[in-house]
Amino acid sequence: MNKRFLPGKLLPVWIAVSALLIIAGIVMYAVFGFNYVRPEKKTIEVSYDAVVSIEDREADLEKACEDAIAQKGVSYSDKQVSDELEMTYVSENGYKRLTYTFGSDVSDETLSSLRDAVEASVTALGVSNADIHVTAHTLRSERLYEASWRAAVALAVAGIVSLVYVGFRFGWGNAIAGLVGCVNDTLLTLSIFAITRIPVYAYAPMLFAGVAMIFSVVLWLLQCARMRENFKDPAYESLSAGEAVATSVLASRKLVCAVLIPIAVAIVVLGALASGGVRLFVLPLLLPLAVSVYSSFLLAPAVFVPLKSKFDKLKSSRKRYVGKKKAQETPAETQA
Amino acid sequence: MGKIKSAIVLTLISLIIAVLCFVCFVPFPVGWVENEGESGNAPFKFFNPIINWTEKSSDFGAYQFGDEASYFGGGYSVVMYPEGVISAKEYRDNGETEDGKEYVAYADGAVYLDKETVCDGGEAPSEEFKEAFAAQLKCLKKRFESLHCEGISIEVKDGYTVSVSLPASLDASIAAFLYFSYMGEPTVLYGTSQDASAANQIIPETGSKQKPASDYIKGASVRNNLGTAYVEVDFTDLGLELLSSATADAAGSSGYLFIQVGGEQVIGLSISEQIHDDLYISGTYTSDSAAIVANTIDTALDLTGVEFGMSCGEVVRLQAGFAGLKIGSFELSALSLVYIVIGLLFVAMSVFFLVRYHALGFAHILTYLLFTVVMVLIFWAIPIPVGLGTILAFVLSSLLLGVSDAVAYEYARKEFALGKTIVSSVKTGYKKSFWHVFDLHIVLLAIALLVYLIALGEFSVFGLALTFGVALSGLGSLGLNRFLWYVTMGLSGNPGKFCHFKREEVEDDE
Repeated sequence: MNKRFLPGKLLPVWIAVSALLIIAGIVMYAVFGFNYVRPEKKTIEVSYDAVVSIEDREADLEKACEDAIAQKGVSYSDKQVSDELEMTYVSENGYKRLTYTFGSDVSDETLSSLRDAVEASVTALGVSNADIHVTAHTLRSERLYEASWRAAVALAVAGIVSLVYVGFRFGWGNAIAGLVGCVNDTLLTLSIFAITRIPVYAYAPMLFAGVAMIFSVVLWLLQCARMRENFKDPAYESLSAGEAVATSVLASRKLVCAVLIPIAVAIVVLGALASGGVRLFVLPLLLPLAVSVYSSFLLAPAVFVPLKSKFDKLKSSRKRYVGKKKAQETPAETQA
Repeated sequence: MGKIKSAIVLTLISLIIAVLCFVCFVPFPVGWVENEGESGNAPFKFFNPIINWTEKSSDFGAYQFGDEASYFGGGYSVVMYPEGVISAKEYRDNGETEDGKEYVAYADGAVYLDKETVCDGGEAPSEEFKEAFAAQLKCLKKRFESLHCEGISIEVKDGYTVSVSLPASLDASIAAFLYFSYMGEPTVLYGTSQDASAANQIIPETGSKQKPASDYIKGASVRNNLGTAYVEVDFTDLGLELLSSATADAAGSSGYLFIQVGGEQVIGLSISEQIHDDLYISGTYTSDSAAIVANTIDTALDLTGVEFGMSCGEVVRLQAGFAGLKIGSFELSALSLVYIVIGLLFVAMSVFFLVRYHALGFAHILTYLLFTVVMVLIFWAIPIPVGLGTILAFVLSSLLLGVSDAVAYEYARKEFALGKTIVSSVKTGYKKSFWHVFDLHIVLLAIALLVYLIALGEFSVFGLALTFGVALSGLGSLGLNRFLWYVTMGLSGNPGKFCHFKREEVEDDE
C-alpha cells in the first residue's frame, strides 16, 4: 500500500479543496449567477399547395431552396417536410410546409437575405400558381420548469433512500460518510457550473446536482461493499482504520472503474448522437460523474476513517462488556 | 449436466431466443400482396417486427399510417396568435384588403400587428399588449405543462406568437391546442335555450357589482372514478349563491348552463334541477380530455384583466425531432442511428466477453439477447415510448447486466485460480459476488422507481424503463446467467479451458 495515500490524514486537504471550490462557486454565483442559455433557432419556412399545382415538382422545389441556401454559404441543421392539417378533422388540407432550421449564430440580416434568395429561387421555378409563401422566423425556446424541479426532487429523495439503505446494510458510519460525499458532490457540482460558466438551461443545475448525488451514492455503495468484504479478511485486522480504508479503496478501483467507464461511454455516445439542445443536457453529466469519483475515492473514505475508528472502539468496548458479563455469569452458573 | 442434456437444453434455449429476436427485430415476408405490381412495390406482405410497433417519442419517432405499420411518433405543432397579430400569409391573403384595419409589419415581415389593437395607434406593440402577451405565455406554459407528457415544446416565435408542439402519442393533442388557446376570464351563463348567445351571464356578475372570476370560482380539477372521468368545478359561497338563484326555476322547465373561457364555450350542460353544490361533469370525457377542460378553466382564473384573446393557426404534423445522418444521397433516421450504435455496443461487449471468457461468453450473450427481447416486449406491451430517456435507461441497464455478469465471472476465476473445482468456483464466485450485485441492483431499482413516481415527462419514462431494466438485469445476472453457465459448461470436457480460467502457478520449492 502506498503510505502517502492515507485518506484519514488527507482529510483536511480534501476539506480545504472542497471548501475553496464551494466558496468560489458561491461568490461566482452571487456575482454572475449560472450561465443560463435560452436556446434560440432561426427557420426559413416555405409553405405550398402540394396537391393542386406543384404535384411532381416537390423535389425540384426542395432542390431550389437548398441551392439558394448553399449559395449563401449557410448550412441548415434540420429539414422538415410537414403536412398541414385541418384543426377540426385532423385531416390533411393539401398544403405542405418545408422548414429549414439554422442555429442562433445566423444573424437577422443573413436570415433575411436567405429568405429573399429562397423566394427568388422558387419564383424562378415557374410554379407561381402553387401558392408558395416564404417566411423567415426566429424562435426562442421556453423552459418548462416543473419537469426539471420534480426530477431534481425525485433524485434527492432517491439519494436519501439509498443512504438509508447503506446505513442499514453497511453501518451508520458508512451512511454518514456517504451523506457527506453526497452533500459535497451536490454543492461542488453547482459550484463548478458557476465557476466554469458551462452553459445550462434554467433549473438544469438542480438536475445535475441531483444526478451528482445519485452517482455519489452508487460509487460509495461499491466502496462500502468492497470494504465490508475486505474487512473480513484477517490481513486487515492488524491494520489501523486509516490503512484498512486506504487499502480497500485502492483495491476497489477496478470494480469502480468497471461501473464508471461504461457510464461515461454511454454519456459520450448519447451526447454525440443527440441534437444540440439535448447535448447541452447530456454532456455536462460528465461533470457530476467526475465529482462523484473524487468524493468516493478521496473525500468520503477520509471522512469514514475517524468514524470507523469510533465505531470500532464502540464495538470492541461492547464486546469487552459482553465478555465481562459472561465471565461474571459463568462462575455463578458453575456454582449452581 | 451431461453433454447430450446440455446440447438439447442449449439448442432449445437458442431456438427460443432466435425466434424471439426474429419476431422483435426482423421484418419477414408473410404472404403475397393482392393486385401485385400495381403499386410498383415488392409483391410480398411483410411482418412488421415488434420493435416497429413500439410507440416512439416525439424526438425519435417518424409518423407512419396504414395497415402495415400503424405506429406513431413525431408530433403535432401549432402557432398561436394573440388577438391583433396575424401571419404574413394571412396578411397577404386577407389583411391588405380587410375593412378598416391597418397592419404594421413585425419581425422582418414574419408577422403583422394590428395598428389599433396591438400598437395603440403607433408603430410598436403597446405596453398593455406586451403585458397581456406575457400573461398569455405564462398561462400557456402552465396549461401545457399540466399534460405531464414527454415531448412538449413551447417556443416564442417572432416575438409575439407562440409555437407549441405536442407528441403524437398524446391522444388529445388537437383538443389541447384548441382549448388551451382560449384566453380570458371564465364566465358562467344560464339560459333556457341551447344557444349560448341568448343566455345570461351569471358569473361574474355584470355591472357595478363586477368582481374577478376568482371571487366566484375556486378552481377546476379532474376526477376519475371507476373508469369515468369528471370535471369538477369548485365554486365559492358567492358563486354558489348566484348559481343557485339563477337555476331556481330549472326544476320546472329545462335550462342550459354554459361555462366559457374568453368567450369560447368549454362546457355546455342541460339543467333539470336547482344547483346547490359544486359541479361534477361527466360525459364523453376521457381522462386526458377532462384534464384539458379542467385545466383550461382553472388557469383562466389568473387571466383577469387580460383583454386579448388568442387563436390557433394551422396544425402541422411533425416528423421526429432529432435529425438523422445524411451523407450525400444516403439518409439514416436518428432512430436507425441509435439502433446501429446499440448494435455496435453489443458487438463490442460480445467481443470483450468472448476474448476474456472464451465460450463462457456465450452464456452472457444469450442472457443479454433474452434481456433485450424482453425489454422490447415490455416497451411494446405497456407501452413505453422509445425516446431519449428509454434508450438511456436501456443502455444503463445493459451495462449493469454486463458489469454484474463480469463481476461474477471474475470472482469465479479467482476461486478457480486458487485450485477449486469449476463447480465449486462458480458456487463460491456467485456467493461472493451476490451481495455486490444485489446491493447495486436494489439501490438502482429504488432510485428508478422513485424517479418514475415523482418525476414527470421524459424523466418519468426514463424511471419506468430503468425500473424494468434493473429488475431484468438482476434476474438475468443472478438467475438466468448462472443457469446458462451450467448448461453451456456441460458441453465441454475441460471447463477451465472452456471459461478461459487458469490455475495459479505455484513455484516448486525443489
